[in-house]
Amino acid sequence: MNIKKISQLANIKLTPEEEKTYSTQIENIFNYLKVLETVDTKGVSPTFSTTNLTNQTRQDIPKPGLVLDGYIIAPKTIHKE
Amino acid sequence: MRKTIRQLQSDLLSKKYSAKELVTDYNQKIVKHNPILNAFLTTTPDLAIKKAEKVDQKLAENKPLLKLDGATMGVKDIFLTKDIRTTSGSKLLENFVPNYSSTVYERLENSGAIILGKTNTDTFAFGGSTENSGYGPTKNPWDISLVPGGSSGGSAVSQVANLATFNTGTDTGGSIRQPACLCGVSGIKPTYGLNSRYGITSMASSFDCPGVFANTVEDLALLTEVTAGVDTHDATSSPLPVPEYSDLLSSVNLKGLRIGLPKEYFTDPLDPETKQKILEAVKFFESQGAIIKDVSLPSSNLGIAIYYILVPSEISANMARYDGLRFGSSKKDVTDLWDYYQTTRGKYMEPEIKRRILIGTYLLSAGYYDAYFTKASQVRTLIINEYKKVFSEVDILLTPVSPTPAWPIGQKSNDPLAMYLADIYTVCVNVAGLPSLAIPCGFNSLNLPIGMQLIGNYFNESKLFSVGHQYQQATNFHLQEPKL
Repeated sequence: MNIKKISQLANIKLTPEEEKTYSTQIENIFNYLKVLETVDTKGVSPTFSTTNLTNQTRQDIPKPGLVLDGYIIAPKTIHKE
Repeated sequence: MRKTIRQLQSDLLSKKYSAKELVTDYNQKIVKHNPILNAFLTTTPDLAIKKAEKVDQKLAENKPLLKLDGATMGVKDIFLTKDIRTTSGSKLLENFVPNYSSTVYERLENSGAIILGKTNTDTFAFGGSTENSGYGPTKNPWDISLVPGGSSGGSAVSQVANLATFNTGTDTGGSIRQPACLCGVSGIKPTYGLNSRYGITSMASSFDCPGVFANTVEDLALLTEVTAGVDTHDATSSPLPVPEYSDLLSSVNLKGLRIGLPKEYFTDPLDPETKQKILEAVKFFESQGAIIKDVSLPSSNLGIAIYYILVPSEISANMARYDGLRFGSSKKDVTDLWDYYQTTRGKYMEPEIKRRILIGTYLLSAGYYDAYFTKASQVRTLIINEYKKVFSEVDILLTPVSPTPAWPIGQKSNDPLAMYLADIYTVCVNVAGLPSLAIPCGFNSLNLPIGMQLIGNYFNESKLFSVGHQYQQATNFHLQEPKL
């Protein structure tokens, strides 16, 4: 596992110690996950929702939204001369 | 003494004490015991007193009480509570005060429940011992050197230490049932979709299930009829009508009830004393005329693997919103936007958050998606099919909750896999989305509580409550209190 690449994809800066610890722990967990390789799933459709209750949308009637009294102050992250 | 919500309301109506006296007593108990137990992260004593005064005014004017008037609650700190700090057990949200409330909390509040504070949890509910909290572990009142279980450990401890009438929790892989078991209280993980997930910091959206802890199953039934039901803010919430569960507590006849014992739940690593107490509960039901059947759920041993593929995958997506820009703590001395994201997340996320995001990111990355995510979703179907088959043969399943009673703080904290395996008897229920009730069924030789789990078919909560209530009418394990 390329921990540097994964942490970059995940947008988390890791210290060198963290990289070492997580690599070992995650390899260990992945070895355990291999148990699924032995299961025959040919022709089985995957489940993404257990109760099939998806998109229980309400009627499209306007309602008041959340009101923010003030502004969101974010730090300056674009540095242009 | 453990009182049900109805007993408490009857005391208020007969003027045994006022709501203000009751709430003051709870506030004082929290001040006294919380420094040791660390069950609450935030308390709201003044707000609670104000609400109690309103109940007293209502009583003075002889106005009818709402279902939960006078009942006090601890709210797991991943439920958003408007104007009350909500940390999710993480330093990432140390100073976050939400501007809206979660549906479950709002419904409890609208029915009269009085919030006393927010309870400790593993960071973002990631864990099974409450040790992953950014605010220190919660201690088990039966022995403060032991974990209370988790992730809803603060709520379970508040319940058993009698620091609130009831407490809310969430259960993604056992996070209500397992701490209920390790602390010796009653807890319900309803069918997926029965309680709205709106306003609860998301962990794994196809697994997360809000629920409650209470002193009795009777209270769990009453609370669930308040919290359950369709919510237009949660597109996976169930539109089915919600029964008045508390009126159906005697609806199941134990004589002839078919109880299944899945053999996969009674083998290694089950602790012998736990097994013995579970089998004594089985004997009780048998003596009441229930039909005990041995059944098999052959894929149960795959539950943890499915769970630790699908859940971290969903977590890595859900946690992407914590970029430090809109809410939460953030690093200010950064060079550009990416540096800002990465430094903020690197600095403020607890180790278990990082671990799970990294696992999920890897699993969903190009080349691995089919081998892991698709495969685990297919095995999820197999697990569901096995439960469906078993529920054509029996009415409910009776199993252990945790393979062992509470373990020492620190014992598993450096071995994430060992910690994950503690959920071996609870995760499959979440993989399938079924309802499950955890109730105390005895104590071991060290006087630590042991619990059992009653698993029902989809939306069969009323059956679980009725069976659990009848068991509690004949036993008193759920009424035992630790010395504080």
